[in-house]
Amino acid sequence: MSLLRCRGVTKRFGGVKALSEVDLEVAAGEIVGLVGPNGSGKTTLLSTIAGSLPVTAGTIEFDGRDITRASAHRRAHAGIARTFQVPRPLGSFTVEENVATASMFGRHATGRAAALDRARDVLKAVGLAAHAGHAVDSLTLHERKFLEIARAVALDPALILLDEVLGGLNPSEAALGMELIASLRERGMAVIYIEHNVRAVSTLADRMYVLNQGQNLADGTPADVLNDPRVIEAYLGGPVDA
Amino acid sequence: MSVSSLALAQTLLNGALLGCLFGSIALGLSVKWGHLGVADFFHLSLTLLGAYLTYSLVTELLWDPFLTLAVTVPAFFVVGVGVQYLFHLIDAQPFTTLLITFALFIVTESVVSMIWSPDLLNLRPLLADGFTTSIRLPDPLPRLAVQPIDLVALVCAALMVGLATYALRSTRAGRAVQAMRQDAAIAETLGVRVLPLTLAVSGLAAATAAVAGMVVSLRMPLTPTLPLQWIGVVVVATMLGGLGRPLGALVAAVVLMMIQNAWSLWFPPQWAPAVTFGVLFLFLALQPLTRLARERITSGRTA
Repeated sequence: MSLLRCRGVTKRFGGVKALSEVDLEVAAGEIVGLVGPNGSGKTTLLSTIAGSLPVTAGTIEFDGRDITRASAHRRAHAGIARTFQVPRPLGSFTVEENVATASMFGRHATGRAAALDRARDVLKAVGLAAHAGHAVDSLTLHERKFLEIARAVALDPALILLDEVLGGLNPSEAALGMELIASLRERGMAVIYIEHNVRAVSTLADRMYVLNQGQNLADGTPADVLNDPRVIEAYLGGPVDA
Repeated sequence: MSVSSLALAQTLLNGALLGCLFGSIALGLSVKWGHLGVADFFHLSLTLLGAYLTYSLVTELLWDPFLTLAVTVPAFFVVGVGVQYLFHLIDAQPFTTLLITFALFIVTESVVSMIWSPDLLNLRPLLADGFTTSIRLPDPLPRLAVQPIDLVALVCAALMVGLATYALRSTRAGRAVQAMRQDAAIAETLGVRVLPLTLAVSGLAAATAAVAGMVVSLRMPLTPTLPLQWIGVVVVATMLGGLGRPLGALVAAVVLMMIQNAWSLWFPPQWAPAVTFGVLFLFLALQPLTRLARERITSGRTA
């Protein structure tokens, strides 16, 4: 049974159709890559799944329940966590307080002391233990991106939505990030993973979806998708002659 | 202590106690402005309404002034929730909320004039002597006098500000409010129930206006234009104290009223409000410098 099932998801912003009848399914423990050219609707789709944006039409089911109209906090309690493309830490909280907030109010809400303990564990897992008591201003870009992941993990989700967490990182930081994403699956979480670096997605993903101009273009295993002529045309503007 | 120093000490004490009343009013404004992003001028009107309702319940139904809180506190909580829910329904941006609350501020003054008349109404003659007769501070404290009503203002301010500060700093709900204040969308994705939280915060802030209004009705003659007299001190105290910091607002209100009262000893009293805005001007003018200094110190630590 699918953990997440999106059917005919459509999102309009005034006269602009950002998503048009998009279908997507994710099974428990699966890593699904979501790729597409700029403006293809990837982040919008993630936002509709997380409840940050309401859909104009279509349905979203999670763990067998219709969550199409559920608020973002209900989806967080149901087991959906997300990161943002541009990290958005809570600026007046320390690193560990940022993560503890997710534990305090998330899926298995806890008291403050227990939440801080859990936050330290999660920070250790993502390599930020040394920064636990620091202000978020002191973090570098890759540390902020990992903090986004840590905060999402602290919600103890069944599905985690990652929005370009490797964007802007150097190769060694990106390699660490990929290890981190792979470890999410080992923790039993399903992942939807947006990334511009198609090669990185194909390395990690069990399946991939390609969006183009707000519509499903292709889906399947990474090998099938990357060899699909429609995908090549969408990315490169046409077949590449040898 | 010489006569002049005694007079100065008495003036400062009176200013501090009056500042407690203004701090009580600023509490709700500070919380709504700082945590909900609503610069709520209607909060001053609610305080006025609280004072008039207390007056009516005491004079018409002969209720004890403190008993009136059993009616006004829940009623104002509902009003606070209702106003915030309206903002939610229309997805009001900060400027829209400013316009709406300012409109309510103007309308309330007219409504109060129509219901209770624009004339001065005074509860003090009806109060027991124990409320109005000044008492001397016991030895070895200086021979200063305080009115029991002012002590009521002090106790109410201390209780409300103390509870609000504790709740914001040390409770689970307080952490949720702080997260929401910084980024409501992020807080929601972390599981914070933002809408119920904003409604509760708005309701509680409005409820504090009922308590402040009760103190106002005991402390001073009532007229519908009172909020116009308060607005300078309350808004400046809210800003000086730091938006969303009840203790800061109370301390700022106390200091401002002490300065204003002391000023009136040596200079024309009609210039006293200018002192309030002068302090605000200095604060705003120096703020970039203090921020720069703080950033330099912080970067020095992290370097």
